[in-house]
Amino acid sequence: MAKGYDRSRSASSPGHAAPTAQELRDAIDSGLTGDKVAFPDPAASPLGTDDEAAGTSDSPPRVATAFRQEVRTHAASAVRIRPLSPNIQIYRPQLTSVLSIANRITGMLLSVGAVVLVVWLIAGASGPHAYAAVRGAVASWIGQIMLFGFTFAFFLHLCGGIRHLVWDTVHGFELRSIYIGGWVVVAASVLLTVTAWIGSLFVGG
Amino acid sequence: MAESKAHAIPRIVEASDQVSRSPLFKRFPVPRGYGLPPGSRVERGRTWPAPAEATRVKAFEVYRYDPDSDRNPRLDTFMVDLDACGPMVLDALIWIKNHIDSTLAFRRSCREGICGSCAMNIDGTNWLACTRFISDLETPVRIYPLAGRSILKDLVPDLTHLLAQYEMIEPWLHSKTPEPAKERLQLPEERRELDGYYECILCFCCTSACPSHWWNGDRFLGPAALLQAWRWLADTRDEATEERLDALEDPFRLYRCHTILNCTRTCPKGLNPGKAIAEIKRMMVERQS
Amino acid sequence: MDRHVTRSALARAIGLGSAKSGFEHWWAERVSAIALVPLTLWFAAVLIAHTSGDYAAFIAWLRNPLAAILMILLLIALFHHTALGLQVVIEDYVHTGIKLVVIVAVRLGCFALATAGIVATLGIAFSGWAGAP
Repeated sequence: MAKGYDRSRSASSPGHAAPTAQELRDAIDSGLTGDKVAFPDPAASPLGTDDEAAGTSDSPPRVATAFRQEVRTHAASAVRIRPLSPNIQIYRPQLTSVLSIANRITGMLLSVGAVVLVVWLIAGASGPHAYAAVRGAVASWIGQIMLFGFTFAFFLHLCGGIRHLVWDTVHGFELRSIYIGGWVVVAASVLLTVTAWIGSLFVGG
Repeated sequence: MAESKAHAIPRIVEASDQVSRSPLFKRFPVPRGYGLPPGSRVERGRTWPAPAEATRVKAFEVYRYDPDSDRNPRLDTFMVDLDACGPMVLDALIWIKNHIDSTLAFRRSCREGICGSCAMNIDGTNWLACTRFISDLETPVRIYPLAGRSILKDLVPDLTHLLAQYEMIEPWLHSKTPEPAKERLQLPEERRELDGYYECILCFCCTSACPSHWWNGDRFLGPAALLQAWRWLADTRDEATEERLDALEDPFRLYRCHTILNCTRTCPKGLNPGKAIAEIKRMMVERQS
Repeated sequence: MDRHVTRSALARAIGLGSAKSGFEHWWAERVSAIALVPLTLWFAAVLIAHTSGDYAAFIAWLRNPLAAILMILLLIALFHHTALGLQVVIEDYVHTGIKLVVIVAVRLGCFALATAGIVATLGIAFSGWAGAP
């Protein structure tokens, strides 16, 4: 296999402190750096030849450094599991992604609201006592806070949903339209929430 | 001197090259290591000293990963002499490699925004390093590899899977009718339908910016492959429309797209993958009704 | 979802091949959404108008056939849209074997809740209609 290099010696640190470029080349050829199949290459211009011809041969300490860094004793072909680059941990929130996740979060909140709707209907069907219990829970101050947040979630999901339906007709995809539409959705949701609550104070009494 | 241009009021972005600069929050409120396997968590790296004679210096925090060591990826801080390098982020990276740390690895070629090699995450958004002005960025400039990819070394991501997804959509002309004597005819207005899609340089900024691809990238094709899929669906000379649509109609391959639109926001060539995907979905409606 | 480590990148990208379906789900989500726009706005208006109403007012309102019909349509569209939407969310974030269990549970749960709501509405509505005691 490798010619001119005694593989019985420890490959990661050659027996002497000053390995030659030839020995490094043989280690590379033997696959000990994990770069190639273990077979020597009869290169026309082996590692170190050009440097020597130019009169700038690498010093023995530099070759030793390269040797230490490149050559491994264990199976050099064993590749370490590659790390995953950070994604949501570092990606900048933009109107696009923020409104999208808001649409999803509000959708999930509305699912909970759908359950409450059914509970309310069943309470109504069960009689005045059950109905009064549900009404009481909703009328409590924590119930009102939740209802307010829920109203905002509803209008945000409604306006966001309409924006999605517009996109499904393949309209409004220029960045300018995306951004204008996005801010309109936010503004409309706030406006509708406030209007609904003020309205309920006047209309409902 | 305040080089960063923070925008206090929300604004209407008109082109993707406008740098995103929300003063409110620069990252989603998740723990720093959230969702990253233990071997991927980024640790603090070393700070390299500023060159002695430099007057205009800017800090660059750069993601580093050494596959030959057993250490986790880390964030090194370089003090870049802005008077000694060109105006683009790529110039700064080359300056760092030439003068400070020659082991810094990154892909680059054309330095003019056409080859797509130097795609990376700069200050939180994906873009080409060679077309991003340093003066548009905050201090410190944060440079990460393309988001959500497997990393070979430093800023070099493994694009094998993305290229395999591209290959899967068969990005070549499928013809069933025999070759004409001359070219396959196409009207100018038919050729114009390819504008905005054929120009893709496959830098994969868009696919790496898509949260849906982060979570389901093994099965979801992502904006880059889907934009190219649309390019071939829209080509009037192609005769395999049926097979292409069949291959795309899948709850994951196409329909993991929830129109998040990070892709259109981040395309360094100003293309619109979100719109291309909407066109594919419209074609799906057309063939069912 | 790697079955074999030695598979080529292309084979891994292809996976099990295209399901050749997915349009129906996407379309149903849009149709139910379109139905929900007027129905939810109607319901919101009803809530605003009846905030001070007591039990009697509630029963009187739901005994109106139109109100009962709209409420049932709302429940159908709402739970269909909810089931589809939640299924997409689960598919996005859950990748282990429990995914199918959760999806089935959510779908059945939505069906059950819709049925419960419809039965409750009908119960209230019929209790006031001509002929009912």
